[in-house]
Amino acid sequence: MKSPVREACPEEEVAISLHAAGALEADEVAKLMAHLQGCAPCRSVLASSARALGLARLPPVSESERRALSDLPDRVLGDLRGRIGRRRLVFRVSTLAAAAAAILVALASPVLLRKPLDKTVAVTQPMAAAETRPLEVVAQNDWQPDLDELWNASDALDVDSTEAQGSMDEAVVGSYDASLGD
Amino acid sequence: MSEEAGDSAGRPTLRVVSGGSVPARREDEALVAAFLVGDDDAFAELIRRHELLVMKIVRRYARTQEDARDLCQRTFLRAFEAARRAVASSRHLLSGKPDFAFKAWLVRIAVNLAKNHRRDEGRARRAPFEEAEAIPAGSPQAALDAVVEAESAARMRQAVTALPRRQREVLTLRIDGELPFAEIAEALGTTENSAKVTFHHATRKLREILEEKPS
Repeated sequence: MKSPVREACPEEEVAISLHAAGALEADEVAKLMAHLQGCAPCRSVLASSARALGLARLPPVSESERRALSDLPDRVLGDLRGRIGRRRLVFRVSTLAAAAAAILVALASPVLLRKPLDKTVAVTQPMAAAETRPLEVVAQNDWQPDLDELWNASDALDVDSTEAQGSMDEAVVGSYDASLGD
Repeated sequence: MSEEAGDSAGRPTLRVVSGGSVPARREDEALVAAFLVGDDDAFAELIRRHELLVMKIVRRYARTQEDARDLCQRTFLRAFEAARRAVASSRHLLSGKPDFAFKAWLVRIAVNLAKNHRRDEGRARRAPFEEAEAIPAGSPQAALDAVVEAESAARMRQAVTALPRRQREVLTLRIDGELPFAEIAEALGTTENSAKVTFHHATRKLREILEEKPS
């Protein structure tokens, strides 16, 4: 059979957890201390919470971990420059391709403008009036890499929706808000 | 920081961290802007300002120091990409001044990348910091106490990884990243009070596990 877990006074339990993490303002600490002087269960919960958080906390960042960061700016800069360089290369290639397509269209436009623009254009040549050959014109589409799409494909800035602690969290937030106004 | 439970007056054993400042945010923006026009020194300065914070956040989820360093590198890379995009958007919209919170982005990206890394690695074995620590020389009782303490610490750290995702994020940003709740809330897209209540739920869960005394 497991021992029952100690419970703090409901109106103080959030403040106790925050105080165990050193997150209360001076006036909040004073208010809690005044309560703790007369409440052994809350003192016990505070001690247990502080111990749990202390055990859960990782050791300080070691010297070897700090050394592992020594060349971080160079590594990130190199990586970033590489990515920017690749994007610029793709952009230049696509820009050249678009320019070439535009030139082709411009060269073909005197012919195209004789007739209303249509996918199929009949071209008549004075020297071969008896013979017509439809000239199919297909619009050239510009292509550029969509950098926003590349970024959006990443979930780096996604903030998943808050878990459904739901109405319980809202009720506790509401009561905590009310206690702050005391 | 001492890992003791605190003194009889219940003074906290985790140090108080002051809230983030507006001037610090403006300095970050200025450094990003300087980098984007070619100032590599500003780039290095910005990384130096925040590299330790990012390392503290991601190391819990990394199996090796190399993993942690790679996560740090990828975090900064993505944050700079996001900043570049924000600046480009502000120019495009002719709004003039870009609006972004570089540190909040860093934190959010670090949390997400660490979470994904943990998922992808399918951490079946303990991280280096969870390996058994050296037993200090001394009396048998001291050695036994050290072993018990190490086992309790391992159990607590395992419990942290088993927390619901949002509780784990808030808790680790506080006890690992030592961030004030205002910054935690900004990074995670919630309110400060909600972050505090979530932290309380996580703390309560850990305390329940610690106090479990099976027969």
